[in-house]
Amino acid sequence: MNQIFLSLFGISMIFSAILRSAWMAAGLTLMLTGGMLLRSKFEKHPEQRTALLDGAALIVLALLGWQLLSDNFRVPDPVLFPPPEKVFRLFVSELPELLKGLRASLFLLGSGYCLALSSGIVLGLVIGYSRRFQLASAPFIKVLGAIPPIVYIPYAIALLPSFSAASIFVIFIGAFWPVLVNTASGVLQIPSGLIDSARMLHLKKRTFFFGIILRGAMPSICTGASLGLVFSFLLLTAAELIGATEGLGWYVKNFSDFADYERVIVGIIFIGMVITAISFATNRIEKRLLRYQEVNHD
Amino acid sequence: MIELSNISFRYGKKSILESIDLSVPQGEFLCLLGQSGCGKSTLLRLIAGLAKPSSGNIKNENESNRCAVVFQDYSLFPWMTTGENLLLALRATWPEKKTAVLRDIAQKYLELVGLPHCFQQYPAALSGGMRQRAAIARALSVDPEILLMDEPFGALDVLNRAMLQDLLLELFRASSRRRTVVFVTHDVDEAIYLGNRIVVLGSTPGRVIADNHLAKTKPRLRDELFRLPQTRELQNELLDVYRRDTWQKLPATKREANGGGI
Repeated sequence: MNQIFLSLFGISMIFSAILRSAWMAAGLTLMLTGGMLLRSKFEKHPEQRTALLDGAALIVLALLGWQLLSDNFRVPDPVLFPPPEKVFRLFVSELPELLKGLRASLFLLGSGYCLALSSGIVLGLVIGYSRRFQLASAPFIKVLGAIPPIVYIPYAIALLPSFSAASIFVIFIGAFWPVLVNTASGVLQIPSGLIDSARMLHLKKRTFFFGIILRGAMPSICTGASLGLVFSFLLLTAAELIGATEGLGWYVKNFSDFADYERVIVGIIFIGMVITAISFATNRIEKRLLRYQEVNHD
Repeated sequence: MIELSNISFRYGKKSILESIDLSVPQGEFLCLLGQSGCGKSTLLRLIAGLAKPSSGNIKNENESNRCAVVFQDYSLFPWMTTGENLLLALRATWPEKKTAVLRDIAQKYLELVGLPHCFQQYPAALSGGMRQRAAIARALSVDPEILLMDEPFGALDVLNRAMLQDLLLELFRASSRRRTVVFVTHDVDEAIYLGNRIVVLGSTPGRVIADNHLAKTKPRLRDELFRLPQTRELQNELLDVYRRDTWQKLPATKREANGGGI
């Protein structure tokens, strides 16, 4: 696989050299594939290493094809889909603006999501553990949880004092239900034998709740947290498209209003990179929290 | 001494246990024998205090009232290493002791059950037999007066089961404390090998249908024990009690279809 990839890379360099935008295209492919190549060097599993090299080869091919077609045949339409070289140049020059947008978006996302995570987990634990709370809350969860959070946007904007507060509220609602429902079902899924085992140890209430119930429900909480994060991203972008004056969603919306598709693509790529980075980080946290599941030799 | 007087337990309208009178003196190894679903695990949960009887009384007249349970599955918490599992129990029992001291105790008990290198390992990394050894280590580490075991070797292969039975007996006999053990099983041979008293529970609803005290001088070696004619007699007697109980529960038409008592 290494040889195939290196041959592809070599061909891409030769093609790039005979084109007008040779060095920029080469630089772009080098940057994108370099990271994957570097990771593949440290990857222990041969299958994962092959997957990384395959991915890198595909990126090289796609970008090279795009650049070649755009430069020589103006396909796809360079106004709607500017060639990679232009996008890359603009990406570098727009980076300060993008980072400013990222800060604003992360503030909204972080506030709404953290609020949803903390309240969803605490309430989910109580609902999952107490049969009484479970029965009392079931109708509310069934009705309110089924409502798409996006419908709250008009009310949030009308009732809350600022756009930030409205966005945080909508993101909170979007992430809250998956976290709450998954936490409660996680508690219910803890085998009764484990609960009996814990009860026989006469643990302190705090240890019982956080050491047994919370940890026992953790696999399901992680699923809820991942789902909540996906909803948060969707709602953040939706909220920013409506009334924001900064942020990544606003960046894309603002420049698409002026038909500046170079910046639109830059914004989309940057959002993709941010989401990938956050997903990577949360996956690492999840793996760390659930590492005990990975060692089954039975 | 554990004293159960006139214990009944109902689940909804269904009667699970009925009129159970049983006293277990200190130091006794009692095997609760019965078919699946006869309520023996429920009785163990009642003794452990994990459930309350619908009627009757359970008196526990031991000094410290310290009681440990080993279940067939789910005794160890999978998200904690084996050592942490022991430490959790030790910390709950002796909160005043320092962690270093408790770690030493945990390590000592893991060595006792033949798992000296498993302190840092998660239960998922251990085999079924090793997990049960660790569960026994955790139960014994808190120095309980009463040890309750709910078919702890039921899911193990024959070889592992025999090894763990030997280990359990060894630990029970070697202990300086006169520990009371209530061991639930559906295996007649296991009950004969381990117990010094065998109580058989009949089914639907569960009630005591036989109570056998074994000779104090019974041989310690498995081969020797099962070569004795008295042991074979006891096996047959217990199996006969089982059979009679099942027979009585069968509807009359089925009894006839099965040979009408031939």
